[in-house]
Amino acid sequence: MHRATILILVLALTPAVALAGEQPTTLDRVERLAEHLAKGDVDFDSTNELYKAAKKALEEAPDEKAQARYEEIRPQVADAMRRNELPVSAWIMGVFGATLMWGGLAFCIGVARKKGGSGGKGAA
Amino acid sequence: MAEQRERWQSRTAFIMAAVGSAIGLGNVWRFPGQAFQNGGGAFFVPYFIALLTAGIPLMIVEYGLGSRYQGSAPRSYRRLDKRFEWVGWWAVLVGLMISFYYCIILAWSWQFAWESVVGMFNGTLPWTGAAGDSGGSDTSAFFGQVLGTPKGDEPVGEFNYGTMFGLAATWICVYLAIAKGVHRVGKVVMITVPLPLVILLILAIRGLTLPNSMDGLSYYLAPDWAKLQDPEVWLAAYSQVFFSLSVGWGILIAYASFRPKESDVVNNAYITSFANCGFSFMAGFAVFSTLGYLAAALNTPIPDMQGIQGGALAFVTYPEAISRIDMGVQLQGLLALGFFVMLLTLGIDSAFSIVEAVAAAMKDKFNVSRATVVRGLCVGGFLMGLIYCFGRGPEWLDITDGYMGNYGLSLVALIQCVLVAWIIPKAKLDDLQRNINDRSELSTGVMWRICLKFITPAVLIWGFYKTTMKMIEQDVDLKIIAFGAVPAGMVILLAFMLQAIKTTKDRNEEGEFATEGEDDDA
Repeated sequence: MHRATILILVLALTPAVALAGEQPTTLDRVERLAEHLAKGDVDFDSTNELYKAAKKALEEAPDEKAQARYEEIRPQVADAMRRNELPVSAWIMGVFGATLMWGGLAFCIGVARKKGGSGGKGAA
Repeated sequence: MAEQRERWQSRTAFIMAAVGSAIGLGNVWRFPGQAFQNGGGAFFVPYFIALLTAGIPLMIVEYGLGSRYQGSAPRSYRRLDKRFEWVGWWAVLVGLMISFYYCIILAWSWQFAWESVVGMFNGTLPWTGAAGDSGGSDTSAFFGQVLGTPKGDEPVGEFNYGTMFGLAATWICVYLAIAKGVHRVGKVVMITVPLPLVILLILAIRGLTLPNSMDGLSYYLAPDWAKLQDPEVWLAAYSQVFFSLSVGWGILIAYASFRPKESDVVNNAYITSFANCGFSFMAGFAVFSTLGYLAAALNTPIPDMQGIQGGALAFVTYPEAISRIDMGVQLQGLLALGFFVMLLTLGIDSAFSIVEAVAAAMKDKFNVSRATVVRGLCVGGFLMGLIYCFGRGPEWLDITDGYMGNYGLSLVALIQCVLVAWIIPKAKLDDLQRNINDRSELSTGVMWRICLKFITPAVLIWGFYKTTMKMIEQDVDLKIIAFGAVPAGMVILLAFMLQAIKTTKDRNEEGEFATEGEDDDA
């Protein structure tokens, strides 16, 4: 029974260990980004995740070779990461921010003009 | 003995002064970068929640204390509870220490503004040159050249006379603004508050009309909702609110004390906060539209760019971007000049508000003339600032800012919050809230109490813990001259606290006023 448990554990852990060994290296991440860019006709949405993964890997596990490769492809990355028009979500957040901050200010000034004048309640 | 307290000439003057104090360099060089790093447009959600649950409640406390007790921070705290006058002194002393290096940043702005003018006449801006691959290499070199950055292991570096002249100009402006009292301040802020807003509008419009500006803007506004699951993003939002509203410095208490006792409190706090946030929000348009243009010019992705916030943005990246706009060197110089004048006008009213808080405290306590106190503070501030004029000045500034700007202010704000919400008798807090509500156009309720008692202290403690951990890590990792700076910084903060307690004890025996908290000099 005891041996069987160990055997099951070993069998269960083997794929996990094997998979852990297959974690992509920093260079792999950068290469994946490079391959994606080489396909051409790429845009922000399709590039962003690969770009983030490559940058994270470069920060967390710096590698000279990967960094050099990244420097090679940086101009293509810049092109792919460019959004030439503002996404709808950005417009919405812009309007949201403006409404809260400038709208909030306008509302409070309105209250002051209506209720207070130059002082507080009852001030002239 | 009753004394005639100075008064703002109008509510508008008071609000403008408070807005001028709140809006500072951080609105331009910190907020947009923080938004970009913490989820873009999604950052506005935690930011706004932080504003409502921590920034505005604390601001209401400060306005309420100043207005109710008609005194600077130490006097107001004393009248609230005579055991806690030292908290007010500690707040203004930490603020004073910050003003010493804050004015140095304005001195750099003077230098860069001067170089912009010279560049317009010479036909070339001094930071114009070959492109770096991640932004601003030549400007960075120029920045080093302006400041005389030391080479190798020079212990202090060369003394920079340009910075010294800039520093002198800054302190002269501070002196001229506040020496004649709040009446003069009220007039000065009528220029120093709207002017940067107008310049920012011009910069934003110019930025938005540049090629690829929308690309930059999308990084500022497009929301990354997943980021909201990260507690660090929420902490960043609360930190941004605390540091940009001037709460915890004793400034707002002093400013509010120059209003009549029957003045509004709550709505003034909302107006000040919304004006501050609205300015920050707009600054993001000016900064990120221009960064989009620069990133395209450098052929680099915006997230790869260096110097997206802080001094690097103001003195390296942004000038570099301006120098690349295709519009002739005279107009480039004019735009750069406008930018640095904006920094100066943004910073100067924050600087003199800090000094005003100290001056009001000293005047209240020691009964000396305003002119004498202000003269002493300005000369002292100039002399203290000279140490930052050496080549190593920027490094020392970073270290001091780490302790005073982050640590000191968080600690002071936390103590103030805990004191008001938990330590003073409930009857006093009830009295303060009733007093605030009686005179205000908007009322505080149970949410205000919840924010003060739980949310604000919890966030401040959390931020304090994170900052401490980060500083210890940096101290150990960097092994720079700051090694040992954590204990040294703690000792300095402790020394300030002891000095604050000593100042309180020295004079309390003389009995400045018969009763605390009552209408003795209102």
